[in-house]
Amino acid sequence: MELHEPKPLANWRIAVLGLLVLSGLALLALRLYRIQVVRTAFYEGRQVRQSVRRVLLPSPRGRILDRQSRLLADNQPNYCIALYVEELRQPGRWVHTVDAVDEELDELATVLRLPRACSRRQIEEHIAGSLPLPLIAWEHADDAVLARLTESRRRFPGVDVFVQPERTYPQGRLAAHLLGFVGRGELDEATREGDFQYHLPGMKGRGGIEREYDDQLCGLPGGQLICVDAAGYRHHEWIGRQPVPGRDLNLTIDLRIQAALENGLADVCGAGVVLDARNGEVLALASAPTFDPNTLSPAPTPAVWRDLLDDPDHPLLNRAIAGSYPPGSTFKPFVALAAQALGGFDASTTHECQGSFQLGNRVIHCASGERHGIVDMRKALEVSCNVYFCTLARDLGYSAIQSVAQQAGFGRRTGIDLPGETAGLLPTPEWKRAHQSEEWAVGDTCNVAIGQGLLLASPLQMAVATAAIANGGTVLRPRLVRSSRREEEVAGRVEWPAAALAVVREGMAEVVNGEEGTGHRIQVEGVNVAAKTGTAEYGPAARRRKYGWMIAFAPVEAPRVAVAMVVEDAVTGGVTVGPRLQRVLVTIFGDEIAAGAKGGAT
Amino acid sequence: MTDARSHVLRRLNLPLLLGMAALIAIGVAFIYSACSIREAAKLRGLYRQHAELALAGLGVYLAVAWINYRALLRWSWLFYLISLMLLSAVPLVGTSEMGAQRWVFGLQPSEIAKLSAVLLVAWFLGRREAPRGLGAYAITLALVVLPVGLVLLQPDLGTALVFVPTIFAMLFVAGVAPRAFWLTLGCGVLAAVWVISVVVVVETTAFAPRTETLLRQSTGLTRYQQDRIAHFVYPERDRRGGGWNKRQSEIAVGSGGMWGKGFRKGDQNMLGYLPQCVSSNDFIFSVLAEEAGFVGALVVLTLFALVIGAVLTVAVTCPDGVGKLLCVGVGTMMFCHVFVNIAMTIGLLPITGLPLPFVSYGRTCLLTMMAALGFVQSVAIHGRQAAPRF
Repeated sequence: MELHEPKPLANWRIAVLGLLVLSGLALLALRLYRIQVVRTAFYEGRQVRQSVRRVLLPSPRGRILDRQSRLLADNQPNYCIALYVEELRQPGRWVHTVDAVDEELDELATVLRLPRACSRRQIEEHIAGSLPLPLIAWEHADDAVLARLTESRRRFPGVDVFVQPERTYPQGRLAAHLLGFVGRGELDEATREGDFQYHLPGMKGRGGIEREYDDQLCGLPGGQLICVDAAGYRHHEWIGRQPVPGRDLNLTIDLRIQAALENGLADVCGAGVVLDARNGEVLALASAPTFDPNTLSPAPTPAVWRDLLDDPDHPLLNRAIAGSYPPGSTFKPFVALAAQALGGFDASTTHECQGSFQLGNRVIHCASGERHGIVDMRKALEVSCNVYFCTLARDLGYSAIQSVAQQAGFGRRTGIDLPGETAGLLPTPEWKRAHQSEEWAVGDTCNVAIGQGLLLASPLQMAVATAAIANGGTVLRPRLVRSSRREEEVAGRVEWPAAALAVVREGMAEVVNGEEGTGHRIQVEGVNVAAKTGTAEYGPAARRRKYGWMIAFAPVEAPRVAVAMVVEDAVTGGVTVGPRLQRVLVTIFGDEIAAGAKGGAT
Repeated sequence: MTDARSHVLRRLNLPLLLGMAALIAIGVAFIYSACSIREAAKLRGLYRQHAELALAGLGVYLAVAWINYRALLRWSWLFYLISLMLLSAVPLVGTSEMGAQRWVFGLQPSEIAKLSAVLLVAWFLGRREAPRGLGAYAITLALVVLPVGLVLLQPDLGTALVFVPTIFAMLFVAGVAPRAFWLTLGCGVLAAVWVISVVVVVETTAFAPRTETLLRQSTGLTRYQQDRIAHFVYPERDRRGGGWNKRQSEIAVGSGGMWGKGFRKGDQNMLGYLPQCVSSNDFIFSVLAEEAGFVGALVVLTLFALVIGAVLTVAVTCPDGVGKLLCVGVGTMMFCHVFVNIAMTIGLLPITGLPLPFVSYGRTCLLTMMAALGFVQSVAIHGRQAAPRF
């Protein structure tokens, strides 16, 4: 029976098994050592990357208000749906990550029922340029979209919503040129902070006040690091930096006057400026045609942009400060000033006007072929006699005219707090020699004297020069935001003889009130207005067109406002600009006129 | 009677009992941590259920340990039949969770089936007069194919992966039909290589749909299981399904570092990146490794080494074949659980729903594992008592 006794089970086999078990456990321990001890930092990094979010706390941009604190520029919340690309990051080439983001966006679009707003190209650009920032997939998400996103949040761990303040201009097109608009800023190295980058490219002023005062308006954006759970909800946070809101700006603009000025320009190309003649505060500054800054902020659609750029009337150009026009007869008061202050002429200087003035083979006519007969200086201003001023200029010489014009601010920037101002052109013999290779001729002097030829000025320059006549020789630096320093208000003070100023003022008052005055259309009942009209020809000889000008100040006794307006393709300054400017003056003095009338009644 | 009692106490294998108790205690603590952020109060109290169940399990353990295993194993065929019936009830009345139907009457029959198969095979191959030829080999395989087939229907690849090595370890120790044994093992390895390469090749190459279908069918796996393997090879292909769990688990373990982040201070756990539906059971080791670090993980590994070592020591010292095979079966089964579970949490194996014995929350698993160690304890106590007679 021994043979049938089976062998007892071999213990060595159990020992082999035991070795296998031990080596298995050792393998686990080795792998654990590798993951937990050798590569801790790698996994810690991944853990932090998926659960720590940078949250951008944009600083609300300062509002812009008029002098009565009426809103000109405001902010409204814009809900953006953004994707944290880092969370979708794929190993290997970047194409894989782009694919993943692309897919995720498609899925999201289906769930949110929105059309894709972010192209593959944009994803590529985002990954190449601003990886640490969230990729903005949709903007202006409404409540329904946000609700759908909340419902399916778990499915999209890398997706988040954040609010971005967005610029709006509640007055629409009103004051568009002086306000400017905003666009997305570029990301610059200076805004990076350590490993974490708080900045989303903020809003940057792209023109007008928005650009000039960008530092004050933009404030300082803040940032936060927050820890989010797997569903993307906030778990806890570390405060990084609180945002500092931008400063509100109170402009010197009066919205009522601005609206009146823009109404006056509504159907033409042109520009106008209303200054406080005492201190240089800009009460209104308009250019036509205009645009709606809401369509340009933060970024215009290509169609809108193309339309604006292709428009032959150049709506983006701020003609009030960047338009250079020959001032026409509105320059004559300064010739009159020069003749008295530097030439030894006085108001009684008379010349006879036969309707034309001949110099060599050139003939200069008076407007509409009129003959003014014998005129003195006041009368010459009233009727805007070309013959008188050509004769006066010929006798006077150019250097006196040039120096007074220079004193009054022609040929240099006024220094207004707006970007893009032109200096105009006050020609000199040297300038002519350098640019046209010709010597200065007496004809040039005569041309400048009647505001034609090479002389160019912006409406703002004309307003500043007019204010100088009105306030007795103070050339102001116009401002849209009140300066804290008083001396900044003044660009220069000119010692013009009081008698000379008086003659010019009287002549300008006669322009409005005199029997033959060219500017009686500007008359405002109850207010004594002084003005000068101007009509400057431009364009090819065959299709002569005219710039209509008018400068004015009021009240004559104690001038408070100085205005200048130009209209392109006008009949004459008096006819075209007069009534438009009259309505502006009525708006400015309307309350006083009413009060005065009431006072007179009682 | 007093004599018998002192005899039992003297022979009680203490490392076996204490190792198990320590693992259960660790389990209670980390289930508490894993569930502490869940919203439902019932789920937050899961650690208490685990503790209570462990107490009940201790009763079963002691009862099984007290009774001579030889008496119990006479009825192993009945136990086997009951577990087969439970398994076949799963597709009929079972409830499903996470893509697999595994539960019936609140139990997971696949867990019970593992133990019952080990008991039956131990009894079948371990008796002195047991046949050790090709016939016995074929019968053993047949005995295993039945429950494995039913388990795969659920589908539960993890349990099947435990079954096969366990039975093969027992066949190896029993020394049954060595040639056939090695041949089968070789074929098994080849088949595994085939399946994995097919999945990888299909995933990376564009085949005609017909060819792809044929290739996929040749693996004998469902699409779900193939995807699991594919996600293991290419984890970034699927970020929110199995790929997500694998990634998050690895991050949890890795970021734990040497000393861990502290009890209930694991970011991956507390912030819910480790999915809460699996963190208390299949992924409890990730919670532990994140919060207790490499040191904590090593303690758990050492405890398992201690328990499995004790089981194999009992096998060596047991004079009769049935006891030896029983211990070998239980030891291998436990090791397979530990290895597959931990390996999947650290990215060494694809994700399979397999709990970590004693530590994971899971009623059936805890009870079965405790009962299994009860049997081993019984072998320790009664093994040298009397001449084996079957």
